[in-house]
Amino acid sequence: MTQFGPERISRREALLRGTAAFAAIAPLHGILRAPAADHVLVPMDDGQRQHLKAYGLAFRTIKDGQSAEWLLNYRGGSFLLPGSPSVRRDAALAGVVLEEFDAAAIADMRREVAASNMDAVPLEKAPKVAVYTPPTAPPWDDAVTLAMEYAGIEYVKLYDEEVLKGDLAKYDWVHLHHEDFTGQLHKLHLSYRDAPWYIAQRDMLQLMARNLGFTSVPALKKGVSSKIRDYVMNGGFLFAMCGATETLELANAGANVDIAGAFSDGTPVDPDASAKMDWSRAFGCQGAQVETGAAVSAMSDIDGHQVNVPARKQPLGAFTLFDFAAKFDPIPAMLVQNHRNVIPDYYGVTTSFLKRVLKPGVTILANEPGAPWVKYIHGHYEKGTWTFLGGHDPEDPQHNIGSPPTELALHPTSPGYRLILNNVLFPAAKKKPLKT
Amino acid sequence: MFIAAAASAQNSPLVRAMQQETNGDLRAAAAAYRDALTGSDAVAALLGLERVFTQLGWNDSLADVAAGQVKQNPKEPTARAVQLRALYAARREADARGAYLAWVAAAPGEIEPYRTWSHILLDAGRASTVDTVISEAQRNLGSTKGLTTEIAQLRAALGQWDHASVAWREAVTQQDFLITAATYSLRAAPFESRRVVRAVLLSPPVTPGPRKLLGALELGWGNGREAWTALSELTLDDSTAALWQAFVLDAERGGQYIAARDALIALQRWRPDARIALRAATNAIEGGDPQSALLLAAQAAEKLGPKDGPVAALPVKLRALAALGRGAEAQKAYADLESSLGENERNDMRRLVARAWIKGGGVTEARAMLSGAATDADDELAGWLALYEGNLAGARRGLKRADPRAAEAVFAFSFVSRTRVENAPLAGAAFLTLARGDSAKAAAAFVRAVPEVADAASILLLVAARIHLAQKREADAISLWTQLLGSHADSPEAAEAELEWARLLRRRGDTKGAIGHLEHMILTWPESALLPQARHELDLAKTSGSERPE
Repeated sequence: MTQFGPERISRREALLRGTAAFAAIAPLHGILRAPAADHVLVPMDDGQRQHLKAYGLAFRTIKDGQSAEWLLNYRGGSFLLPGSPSVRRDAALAGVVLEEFDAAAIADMRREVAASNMDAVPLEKAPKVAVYTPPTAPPWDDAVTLAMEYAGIEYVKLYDEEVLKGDLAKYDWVHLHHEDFTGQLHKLHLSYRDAPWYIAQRDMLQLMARNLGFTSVPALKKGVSSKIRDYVMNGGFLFAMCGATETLELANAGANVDIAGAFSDGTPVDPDASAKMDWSRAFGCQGAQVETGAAVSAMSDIDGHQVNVPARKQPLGAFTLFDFAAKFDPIPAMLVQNHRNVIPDYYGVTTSFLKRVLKPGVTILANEPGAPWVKYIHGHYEKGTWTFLGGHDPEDPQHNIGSPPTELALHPTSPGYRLILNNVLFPAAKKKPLKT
Repeated sequence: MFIAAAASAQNSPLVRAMQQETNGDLRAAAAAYRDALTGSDAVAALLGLERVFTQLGWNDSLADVAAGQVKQNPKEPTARAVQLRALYAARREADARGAYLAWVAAAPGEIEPYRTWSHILLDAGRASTVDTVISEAQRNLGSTKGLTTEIAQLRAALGQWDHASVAWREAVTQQDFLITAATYSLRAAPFESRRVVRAVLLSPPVTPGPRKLLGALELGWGNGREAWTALSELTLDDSTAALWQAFVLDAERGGQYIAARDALIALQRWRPDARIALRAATNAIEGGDPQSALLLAAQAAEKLGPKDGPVAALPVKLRALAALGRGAEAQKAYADLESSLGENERNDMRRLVARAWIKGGGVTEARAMLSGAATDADDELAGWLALYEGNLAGARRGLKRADPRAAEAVFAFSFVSRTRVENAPLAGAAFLTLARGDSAKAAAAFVRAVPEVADAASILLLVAARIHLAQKREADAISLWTQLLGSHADSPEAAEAELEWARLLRRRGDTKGAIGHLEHMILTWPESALLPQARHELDLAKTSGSERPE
């Protein structure tokens, strides 16, 4: 029985406890000068002060050819790294908290992992990362590039020309900037048709479409969407956020249907577009209704929040991450590693995904209890996988155009941004045979 | 008859219960409140019972009692509200929701059930459920007019600062007394969302409620000038003037002196008053703008006329001149009016003149002024004079009382506190040279004084390097930083020096060099308080190709 109140302990016990407390504090005071254990633990619970940079540390460690393990569900999804001088130096520069982990601590950890819903996944190779984004887009325009810049994870930018050339095959992991793959620029012309930045973006896309041999921007984006679909079918890892999720689904399912308004391709939307969609070409959605209203700033009913349609707009709540069996379902388990289970929601042009339009078999990683929508979904498609996260910026819930950029140094422990970085790292995990 | 009534009141269970509650005898009070429930004071008794039951942790019992009261009088809103609060506090949320729905059914068309239930849920942080309650009110009543405050609180709790600002704007436009609640709710808006709050509250038409709200928010966020801007656009009349006067008090209390000055200037323009102008001048000095204080003091003197004006404005004028280090002008201003001053005033004014001389390095003149004024060894002026002589022990004693807002005082005091040396004439001379504004010679003088104060050498080297840097002598600054990092690596100034060195390289476009210094600094002094700043600058240096617009 547990008893509370003062307890009697021996002098020897008191000394032992004092030594243990000092050992816990010591790594914070002079990381390079601490007595070096063979391994260090990068805690990812509330003991960490730089969760986002910790992902960069793990990434660079494996990129450097050193070993690393991702300890799923162990202290918020911690990393076990070698206690090498380079790891310690890197951590000190980034401000990442390390804990000395000697053989005894590792043995204790492995016992706990074996006995609980946890697992230790070796990270074997730093994934080659590409971000699909216009060449002129600044890093703070997109949460993923922002997170990778902050964490110090290398990536390459590519756009329509490179995708159409087949360059996606060179990369393990591709993230889609908040592109509108229906070619309608998220119908922003309804509010911003005279804004210089809108005009510049529209003109750039039209020029690019012409140069690449397409009749219109919607046609160009359908070509690009098809290449992205091929990339996943051939084994690629795709991650998308915000409007890229919904519009990619629409562009692929509507490959042979006119789903773009006359303002973008000169012809009106096919009034029967919804019935003609081929949802077998989409990753996770089916049976959605294409928005045919020219004056309605929405693409379809995939998004539950409809932020740009005042009469339909839903308020933000909070979403809850699901638990997965780390030993049997490692990929979803990796994608939800976090030190928080409930995360405040945030808007994007696509904020969420209505449950009723999801294909059977789609894995729901996070939902809002009681709401008809979910926030974070994942699935396999042929040989590859795709993951969609709704919303634009986890630390800017409203995200109005013209809002100042998010300063991640002010959110170094952001649980929302951790979801993004889980995606960057999971392709590095060594695949293990399923224990079935 | 009155005596009989009073005696009867004394004997009433309610009065007895209140006395017992006041005396801390909660169990007896609970019994007496229960007795009172059957009389004409049932509502007061139930509220009393809620207080004592809550303190006793008997929320379940309270819910039963409240249910009994509701049964007796289904239209009584207080009993309904107590029932909801008790059920919720007893963690019987489903029962509480049931009680809320029963209240809605019993009081169709009334806003109170929605409002009470929303409050309970808001207090419990259940913002998303409140949204449902508000939707129910909208559906059942056809409007949420009576729920303006709750909607505003809800939006703020959900982090929807734009909607929250709109809702609070509406609320405070109608009901001025809600400004405190609105301030409390909106002040939690994070830095990046405050722009939206401002935009909503500043949007036309300009009305007092929203502007008062924004003024209070900006003051709370430490933006005195923005607070004043929000209020300054109100149409000026007696009530606005009263509002501005209240703002001056708040701003002074919050150390936002420049905002207070600006408000006083506006008041003074409206109804010219020399006292207001002098108060504005005092605020200008406190806010670090002695130049404008001189102008305001002159205006006040002019208003008061040639007989009284110069004497009334003299203290403020001398304080301003002292802050500017303009000893000669201070001396003349004092001499012109000396004969009009009393003994005590003369003493105070002479000290101000001495302060003006000291600030500019006029040691002899300051001594002359102080010769006729009372001083002691713990006096700040004595501390400065001791420092300039190299008497560090005396400086240590006197500078303890120096104004901590003055950068030169902080620097001097940190130096004399670090060293244990009692006398250091070279260091004193260096401080004096600096006070006299000869930066080039001061930097060299500080370096010359290094051997004299080995235990505080790093401070002198760092300040000398800063002076060189300010004078664009970058090579000289680098030479001193090199010396500091080489010979005084264990001093707190070493990390600071390396950070400044990295900044210089970054400004010059030498990103690689800057990164090298920042990394060295972080790895060498992992316990430095400057580490978060250094890491931030390292990030900026590494991503300098995509640096954000400032």
